[in-house]
Formats: sequence, structure tokens, C-alpha cells
Amino acid sequence: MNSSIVIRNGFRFISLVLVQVLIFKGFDADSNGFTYLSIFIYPIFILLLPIRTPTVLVVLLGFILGCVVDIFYDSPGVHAGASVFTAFIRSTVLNFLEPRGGFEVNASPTKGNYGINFFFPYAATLMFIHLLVYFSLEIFTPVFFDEIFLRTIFSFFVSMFFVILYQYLFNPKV
Amino acid sequence: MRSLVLFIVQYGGIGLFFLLEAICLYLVVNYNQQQREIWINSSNILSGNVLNLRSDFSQYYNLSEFADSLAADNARLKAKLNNAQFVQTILQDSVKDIEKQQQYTYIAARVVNSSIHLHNNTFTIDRGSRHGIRPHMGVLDANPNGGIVGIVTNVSENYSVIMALLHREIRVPAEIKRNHYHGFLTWQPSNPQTIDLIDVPKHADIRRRDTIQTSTHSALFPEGIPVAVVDSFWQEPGSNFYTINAALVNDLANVKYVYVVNNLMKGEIVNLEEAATSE
Repeated sequence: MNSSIVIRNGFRFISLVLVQVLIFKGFDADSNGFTYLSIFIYPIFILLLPIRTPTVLVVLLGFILGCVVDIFYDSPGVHAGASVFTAFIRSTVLNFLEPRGGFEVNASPTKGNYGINFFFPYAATLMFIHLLVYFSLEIFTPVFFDEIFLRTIFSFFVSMFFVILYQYLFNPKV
Repeated sequence: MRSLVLFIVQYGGIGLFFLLEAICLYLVVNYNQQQREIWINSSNILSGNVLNLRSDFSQYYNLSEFADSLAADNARLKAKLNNAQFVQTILQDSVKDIEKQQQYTYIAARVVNSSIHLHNNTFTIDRGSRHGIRPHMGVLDANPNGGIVGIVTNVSENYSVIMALLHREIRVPAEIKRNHYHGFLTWQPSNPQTIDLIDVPKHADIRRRDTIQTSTHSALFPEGIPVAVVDSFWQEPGSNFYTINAALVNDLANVKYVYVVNNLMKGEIVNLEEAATSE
């Protein structure tokens, strides 16, 4: 593994977590103490890990990422559980969306490498799963399934906006 | 070592996934107030249901034991009824001194074998000499309508055989409830739902639907237990007595529990009567 990839991903990890907890944590839209909209951008880190990263490593990194976010959100295990799930499901989603020519070794699944037609469904699937698992863990009861679902939908559209915006702003290749 | 690393890299993902998800779930449940409460409540509901299921099952499993204890309770309560008491009332200078003495006690038993379609039908019950049953004790049906089952004939340690009412040799004193005319219950092998009351004096006033009950003439049963309802009656040619055909109040085909009657004063009666006849 190339050391520049490690450094870039480490830098991405730190900056995404900082932006998440310093900026977007404050954007949670409340009404009467009920949060119906949250913006999550930290899963971008999981999304953009190099394609050939072993699942073990992705899951482990997802766990660490989620735990760090949990420390700031004061919700032990909730973000971590969602991130581990997203990290684990990532390789399956990648296999489904594999382009005809296959993936390049060490490349990241970004808009810059494979185009928006690949990146949008890839990011959308994982973000939706991530949010669904996150809100399921947060609300923690199937009794309020409608609440889980509505919060997932609202948060999904706004978060996806930032995930795509990230691609257009930085256009990362790795 | 290298192959181990390769193995972990290739297949460790799913294992690590489950391990980390379990850790996350543990953290969620233990360190988040809301999720913790939901978890505790849900697991209480679950464990409550499981425990309920278990108690339902054990209740069903213990049902026969429970029924036995209820039957024993009933036997104890029946012994407290008025017709189980011997009233020793003495008139002394117009002061009525009512004194009651226990005359009958009951032993609850379960029918383990029975016949009703033979000429001489018997019942077998699961109580015997060990439980205080002796030959020539009366047996009552546990049915709330009343009714009698028969008379104990043979007793072993744990079981007893009852000569059923539906037996050609049965002969139980009984009376018409309305006017206390006496007769004897007998049975002809015909219908297991009817019985005959014979030797009723021909001047007796008998009507259809009259109730036949046990009488004080019998040392086997407490008085006033309904036995049958008069259906038809006639005089045999050349006889001075009525024969009454009556429908049993109980169905001997489905007797499950019975009470064996223990007359505490029977010995006294029998001894006295024997002494009187031998004089």
C-alpha cells in the first residue's frame, strides 16, 4: 500500500470528523426537542477508501471513525454501529456496481475515477443504509418505524447534497 | 503465519463485522439512557412472556394434581354440611341444646376404570385401604347435580372396586323426596341411564318428576342426596308395591371423580342391629 494513500486518507479522516463535529453537529434541525434532520458527511471517509482495501480493514476503520464521532456526539456505539455496518456492506455494493472494465488496483471509488453515473448510486446506496442503521440504533424501537423512516429520508437528501458537493469541490482521485 | 494473515484478510471481515456490531450494541445499550430503557423494557416483556409460557405449561402439567387437591378440599367441605352431622339435640326444660357431631367424612377419589354396559357393572378408583376406604362404604358422584355411584366391595392397598348402581345385586334404600315413602333402588340390565325403585307401598302418592333421594334408612349415604327423577311407575300384578322407573340425575358414563362416604357411626348402628336380631 502506497504511503501517500495512507496519508491522504488519514488527513481526510481528521478533516471530515472535524467538519462533522464542529460544523454539522450544530446544524441539527430541532423542533420541540425532536430532531428530524441531521447532516452526516463523515461516511465519505468509508466511501472513498481504496477499492481493494480488505473488508477487515474497512470494518475496523469504520469502527474507529464511528467511535471518534460518537465521542463528540456523546452517543457511545450509535455512530460506530452504523459505520461498521456501512463499512461491511461497502464491498457488496461495490461488487454490484463494478464497471464493465473492472476496478483499478489502489484506485478509490470517486466521481473523478469512474464518473458521476457510478458515484451517485454508490454513494446514495451506502448513505441511505448508513442513515437507516443510524436512526434505527438511535430510536431503537420498531414501534416508531415511521419516525426512523422519515428522519432517514430527510437526512438522506441533505447529506447526499454535501457528499456530492464534496466530489465537485475537491474532485479526489484517491 | 502468512496463511493465517491471508485467511484473516480474506474471511475476517464478516467475523470482525459481527464482533464490532456486538460491541456497538453493547455500548448503545449500556451508555445511552433512552436506548437502555427501551432495551430493559423490551427484554422484560420478552422474559415476561417466556416466563408466562413456562408457568402456563407447568400449570397445565400440574392440572391433575390441582384437580386432586380441589377434590380433597371438596370432600373436606362436604363433611361440614348439615347432612354429614349427627344432631344430638336434647330438650331440657325447654332449653334447646343443639349439639352436632361429625357423622360422615368423605374421601375424594378418581375413577380409573369403569363399565356401564355389562350386567354387573363396577368402577375402580385410585384410593384404597391406605386412604381409609373399607368395604361397604357408599360412593357419591362428584357431579354438582348429586347422584350416587355405588358401594365399595373390594379394597386393596391403593385401589378399590365399587359395585355400581348399575349392578344386578345392588339394593340401596331410598325415598321419595316429597313424602318420604321408602323403597329400594335396584337395577335391571337394560338402560344405564335409568334405575328402579321397588317395594314402595301402593298407597304412596307418587307423581312423575318426583325426586328420589337417599334416605336415613341407609347407613351408607348421608340423607337427601338426589339420585333419580321418577319417570314411570306401575304395580306388578298381584303385588302390593309400586315399581318406579326413574332417570338417574348423573350420567355414570362420564364419572371422573367420586367421594367415598365414611360413616363414623356405622359400626355402632350395625352392632346394635346385630345384637337386636340375635336376641
